[in-house]
Amino acid sequence: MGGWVTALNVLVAILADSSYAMFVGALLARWWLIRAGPLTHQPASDAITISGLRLGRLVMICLTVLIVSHLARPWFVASSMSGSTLFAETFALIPTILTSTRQGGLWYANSLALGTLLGRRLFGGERIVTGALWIEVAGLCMLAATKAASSHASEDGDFTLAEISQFLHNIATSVWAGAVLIAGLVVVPRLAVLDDASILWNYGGRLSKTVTKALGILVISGLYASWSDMHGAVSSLWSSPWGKTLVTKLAFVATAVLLGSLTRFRCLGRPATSQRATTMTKLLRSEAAVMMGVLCISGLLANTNPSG
Amino acid sequence: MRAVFTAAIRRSRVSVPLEYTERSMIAQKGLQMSLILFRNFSEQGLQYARSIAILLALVAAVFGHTAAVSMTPAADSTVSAPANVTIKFSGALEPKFSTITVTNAEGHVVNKEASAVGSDHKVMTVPLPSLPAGVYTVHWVGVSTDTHRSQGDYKFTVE
Repeated sequence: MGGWVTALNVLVAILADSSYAMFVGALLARWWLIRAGPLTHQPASDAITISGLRLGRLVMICLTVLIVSHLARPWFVASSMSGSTLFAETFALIPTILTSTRQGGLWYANSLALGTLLGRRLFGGERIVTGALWIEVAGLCMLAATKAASSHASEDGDFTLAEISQFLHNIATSVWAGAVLIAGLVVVPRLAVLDDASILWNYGGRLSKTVTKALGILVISGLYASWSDMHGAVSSLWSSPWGKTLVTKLAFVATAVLLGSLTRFRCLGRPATSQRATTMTKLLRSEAAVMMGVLCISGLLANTNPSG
Repeated sequence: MRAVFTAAIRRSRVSVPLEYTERSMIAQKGLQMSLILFRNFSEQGLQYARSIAILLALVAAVFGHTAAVSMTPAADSTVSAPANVTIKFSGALEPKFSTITVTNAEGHVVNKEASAVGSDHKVMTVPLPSLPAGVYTVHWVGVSTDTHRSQGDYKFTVE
């Protein structure tokens, strides 16, 4: 792929991955808020409602980005596979991509998942219905599964340990990134100003527990992927611009984990106070900013060739 | 919905404060406090372990790209006229976009038939006519099922 196509592909991938993560994060946030306490019972002066956080609108924006990137996907695949950047040439290859390649088959599965999510959003409203929630979860899982099946992890076929591991890795990454982004940018700054800090602590506790579990899955899937895929190629980490980008990403990830640990042990592990609520807001905002950096560099790395 | 909110009130106003109250009481007892510290230390250790695992996973995720792992005839080898050129790849290939062409020293394509990918999607072969002695160049393009495109050239000599 040419430079500008690669750049566009990376940009679209970053937007799609971020939107997917925030979709997952918004659903989790909504669920935790319902369980964390009745926000509508707060005094009128600082009244915050779940609907007031506009998580539903955020989800709809994320879904729109996912659909647009999905529609553009066959063209990017055609460009990547053919090595051409000529629009007419790659556009003519789209029918071949959709009918004769593995990516084409997965594109249809992705269409089904996105159609399900769109249908749920358009016709399900904002009601909290368990069945509708599970439909949404199923749609999101299907998107994660097709992403795993599109990746290198599926080289030995479907339903292999590598592919399942990648699927879990995708889910865990989205839960981690999405939960932190929504908490840091949308929910926690609003909860931190409430008189009743227990709602924030309850929300933070659920966030921390879920993120810890997600990181646990990242450990298992990460160790497996490392064991099966690393073949002594570590030296290129330091010898190429691409490797240096990867090291930068690792630094971002380590920073995010460190900030998460600080939130957990300096704030959530101690009694709730307004000062700690302010500290937690700052830490989570910082973690969210770092997480955006992780997603950006991930999109760059996932769509470039290490040898290139 | 009212029941859900009532239950949520109970959970948020009773269970959470109690958890911290219990922690405070335990913390006043020296021996048990050391247990909490040990647990926190273990959790921090786990966080570090997770960080390392994430780093390893990220490294692994990006090093896994399909590449040519063996060629027949081998690169820079001298052989009697081969019936075909076969290249084995580390990952599955897209047959529609993966190709092998063989050219002679003048740069003319010598293979009459198109290359084909085997049923396991990891081996690509191109049949060759009877080749006269000389130096030949194999040009290969391997497009993996995850869309990444790799390519290469190598030479072999027919004696």
